[in-house]
Amino acid sequence: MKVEKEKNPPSPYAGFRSRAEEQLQVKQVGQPHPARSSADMQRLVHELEVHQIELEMQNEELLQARDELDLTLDKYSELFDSGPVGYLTLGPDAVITAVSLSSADLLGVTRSRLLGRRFDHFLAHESRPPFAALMEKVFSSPEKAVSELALLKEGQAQLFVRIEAVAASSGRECCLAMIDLTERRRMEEALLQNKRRYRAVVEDQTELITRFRPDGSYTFVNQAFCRFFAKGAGELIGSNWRPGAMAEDLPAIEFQLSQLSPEHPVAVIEHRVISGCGEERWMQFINRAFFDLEGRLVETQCVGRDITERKRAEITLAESQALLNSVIESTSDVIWSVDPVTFGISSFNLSLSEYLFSRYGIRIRCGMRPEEIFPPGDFVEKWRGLYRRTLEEGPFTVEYAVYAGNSVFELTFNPLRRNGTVFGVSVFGKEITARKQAEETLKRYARRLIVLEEELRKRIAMELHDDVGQELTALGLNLAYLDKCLPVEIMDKFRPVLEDSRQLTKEISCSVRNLMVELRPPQLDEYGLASALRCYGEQYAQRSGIAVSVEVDPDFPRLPGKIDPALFRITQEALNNVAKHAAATKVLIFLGNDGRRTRLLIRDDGKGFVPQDASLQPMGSGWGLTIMRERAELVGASFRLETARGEGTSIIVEIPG
Amino acid sequence: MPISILIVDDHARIREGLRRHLEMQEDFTVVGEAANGREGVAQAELLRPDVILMDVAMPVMDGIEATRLICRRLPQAKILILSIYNSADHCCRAMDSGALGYVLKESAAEEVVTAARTIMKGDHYFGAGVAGFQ
Repeated sequence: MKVEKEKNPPSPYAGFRSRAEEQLQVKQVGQPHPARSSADMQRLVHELEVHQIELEMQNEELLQARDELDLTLDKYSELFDSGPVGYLTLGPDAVITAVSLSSADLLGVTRSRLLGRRFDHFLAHESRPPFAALMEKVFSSPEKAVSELALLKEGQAQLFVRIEAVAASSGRECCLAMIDLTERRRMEEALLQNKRRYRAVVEDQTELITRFRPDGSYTFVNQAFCRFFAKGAGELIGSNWRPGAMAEDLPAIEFQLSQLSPEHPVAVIEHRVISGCGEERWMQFINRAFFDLEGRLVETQCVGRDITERKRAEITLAESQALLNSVIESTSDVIWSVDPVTFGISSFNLSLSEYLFSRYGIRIRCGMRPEEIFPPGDFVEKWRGLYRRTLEEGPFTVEYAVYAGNSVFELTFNPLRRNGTVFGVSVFGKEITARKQAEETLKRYARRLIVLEEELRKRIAMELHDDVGQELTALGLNLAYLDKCLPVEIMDKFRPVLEDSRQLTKEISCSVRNLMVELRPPQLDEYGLASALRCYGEQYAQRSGIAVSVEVDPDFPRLPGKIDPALFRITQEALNNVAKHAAATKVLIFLGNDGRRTRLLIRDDGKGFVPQDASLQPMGSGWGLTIMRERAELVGASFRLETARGEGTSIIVEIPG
Repeated sequence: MPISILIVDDHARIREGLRRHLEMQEDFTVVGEAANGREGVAQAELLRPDVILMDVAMPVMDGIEATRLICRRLPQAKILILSIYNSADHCCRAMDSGALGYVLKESAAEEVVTAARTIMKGDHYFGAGVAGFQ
């Protein structure tokens, strides 16, 4: 509180002259003034005048000093009343004799109400004994006494204050300085709680937590750390972390720790340690360095977790990856993958690289798009189409003739997926040029074989007709002649034999005719496929007991060249299979032509089969399907098999045109 | 008057066998033979036989073409086809060409006489094994 000065106060020296004149009168009583000459009078006046000036000067200084004292008084008053520290003076009985405004505010009572009251009345019960001890010490010793006490502030919770007391020079009072510690106490308590919580968190962690000095000596380890290394905290604190790490890993660890700085205080280091049970484990430590104001490393906190399983998985994965890479790089097949958006190359193997460079001088690299690999035009669009098809339809395989060369590849396209999302297209390519050439050669041989077979069949059929058939006819006529011409008595003896011979001749003729039809029905060349199928169907029905119906479109045309024999042979083979395997009662043969394509259908009501099983049949039975398919392909026809167990079998052959 | 018969077949043994077989019949006389269709046509024009036994598969000219020509030139000619084939197509083609009868060669010994007499009367004859195609 600032002491305000009165405006224009009366001069404190105002009564001095009247008192001085009174004192002079008293002094001059009984002492009359001596006679003085004029010179003496002048000298005395001069002395008085000088003295007066001296007095005025002294007075001026006194006034100045008084003003300064006033200012100082104001300052100290302000400091006493309003400073951050509360001041009191107490008597030996703890009665408050003087109190600053700060103290009053701290105690929550007006200054006027505090004066004369005992200070210890404002103390918490548990603080009164230490206060009493402080007071005793103050009044018994010149030394300062200090104590931290709890105050009871009216209407509020306890305050905590630090009291420093010293006895006054008079010895009858003591001066107290009271510092509010409440906020500090509260912060200390909060800090303590935080420490307790932090410690609980740290100790409950499954991760290893430690701190160490720049020299590597531990200053803190949590329970998890102790358990891992099978040592107590007491044993670990002060020891060094280095012996716990694998020696081969130390240089790398040291280097990474040396890189810690105030700008980069965190380093994640993975290395091996020896656990408490002697096992080598991989650990990941997150090291955070703490620096002082000068940037010097003070301490490093380290949080670690066991990543052994992950490391082992990484090692296994790396080994698998290396093995896969070696397989991919060692194969002669070309393998690559492309980006699903740009179709740029994202990976490729050595075989592809070597193939493109050796054949076309192209140095392939990641990122290359189709237009950078192939010449402009159809090739680029074709490849883009293949990639798009993969993305839209899924995996497929095609045979691809490489441009500007005689290579043929079997390419398998697959979409690459990760977590259900397509991230690329892979292509596996196997060069099948030799195989295709062999297939073409085989096809040529097969075609030639079929042609030769047909020619042979035709020749044999002709020879059967022209030779065996005619001669059997002549034989039959001769036997009939004998029957008519030989004498009755001889004929009676040989008639049975003759009759048997004539019957045999007929049967052989019939067999020869059937064989001719089987080999090459004359209708095929003379009347066309429909006629040949009708004839063959009738013969087949008689032979096998399976009903055959042949349905032909009314305007079914004669088919050109080799198509008739091919379709006939397919039907023949199909009927053979029906007789052998189908257990059918009837077969439908349908021939149709709608102007766009010719269609041959052979359908039976037999037991059907699983197509895959046909390939497992012994040689000679499963080959029928293969032969039919080959004959169809040779004349440019499509071949389709529809069958299922218990549902019969249908063979559909279609030729465009 | 015996029935005059011309035999047209490219196999000599069959011609010989048929001749022998037919000449056992008192009402048949074989007036000529031909080894192919062209000869058969020429012989038919020359000899004007009552019945012509015609094989189908022959060189130079087959029996169907020869039958067609003979029927055009000699409308009164009665032709009996002798064939190994028993298919409806063969039979129909033969009938379409003008033949009156069709007999399988394997049954020729039993049926050729009856067949020749039948077609001589102007009727059609289809031998056993061919009858189903009537």
